[in-house]
Amino acid sequence: MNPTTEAAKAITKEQTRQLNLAMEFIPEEKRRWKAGGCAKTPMDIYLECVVTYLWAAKLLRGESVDWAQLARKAQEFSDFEKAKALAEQWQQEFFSAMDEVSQSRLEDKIDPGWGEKMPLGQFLFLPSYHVCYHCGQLNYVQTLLGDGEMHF
Amino acid sequence: MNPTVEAVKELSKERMRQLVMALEFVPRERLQWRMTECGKSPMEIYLECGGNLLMNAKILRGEAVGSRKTPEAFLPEAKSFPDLQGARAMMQEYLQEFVSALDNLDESRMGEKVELPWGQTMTVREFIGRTASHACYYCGQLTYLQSLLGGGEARRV
Repeated sequence: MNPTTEAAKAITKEQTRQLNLAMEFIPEEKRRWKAGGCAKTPMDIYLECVVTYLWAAKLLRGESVDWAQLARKAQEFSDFEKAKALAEQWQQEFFSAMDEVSQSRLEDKIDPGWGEKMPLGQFLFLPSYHVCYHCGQLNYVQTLLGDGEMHF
Repeated sequence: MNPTVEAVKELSKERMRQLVMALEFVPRERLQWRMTECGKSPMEIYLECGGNLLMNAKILRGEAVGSRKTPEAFLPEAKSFPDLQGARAMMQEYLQEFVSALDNLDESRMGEKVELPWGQTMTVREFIGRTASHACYYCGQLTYLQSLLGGGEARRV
C-alpha cells in the first residue's frame, strides 16, 4: 500500500468518526431542524457527506456519476442509525476504489466535475476535507442549541 | 524543500483564501452578530483562525505557548475589529508567520513530537496539516452562517 493512500484512509476514517460524534451530540428531535428557516438540516449535512464517499469511489473508478441520483438514494436512509451504516458502507467503497489506484497514477489528473482538474493524490483527501468542513457546521448547530462544549 | 511541507504550505494558503472569501460574503453589519448567546459571531470565528495560525507558527519555532484551552487566547477580542480591514491585515500577517515557520522547518524534525496547549501530542508531520483542516472546519461554519442570513453556500470560493 502506498503511503499517500494510507494517509488518506486514516484521515478519512478520523473525519467520519468526528462526523458521527457531531451528529450524536445533536438531539434526535433537532436532526431535522432548519435553523433560520433556510439552512440545511443536520441530517441533510450528514447525508451529503455520506454521498461524497460513493461519489469519490465512482470518480476514481472512472464511472459516470449522477450526484442527484446518489443523493436521492441516501435520502431513503432517514434514520440516523441506518444512515451511519450507509456511511460505513460507502466509505468502504471509497477505500476499495483507493486500493485500485497504483502509486504511479497519483500524479494523473482527475476532473471532480466543476471544471478544475486535480492530481489523484490530492483528490484522495478531498472527501476528508469536505467532511471536516461539514463537521464545523454540525458543531455550530450544537452551539445554536446551547451546547458550547467541544466534543472530540 | 521537503515536498510535504510545500504541499502543506500551498494547501494552508488555499484554505485561508477560502476562509477570507467566506467572511467577505457575510454582510458587514452582521460581522459581530450571534444568532444565540452560545454561537460564535463571524468575526470571532475568523479571528480564532488567525489565532490558530499564530499559535502554530510559535509551536513550530519551538516557542513557549503556555497552557491554553483554545487559540482564541492569542487574540484581542472580536470587538477590537469593528471592520474587516484590520482583521484582514492581521490574517495576512499571521499567515506569513506560519509560512515562514514552515520555510524554516528542518526536515529532520518531521518525526519529532509537539505538544499542543491543551495537552494533545502529535508528530510535526501530523501537526503541520492541522492549519488547513482548522481553516476548512471554520470555513464551513462561516458559510453556514451565510445560509442563516439567507444566502447560499456556493459563494464561498
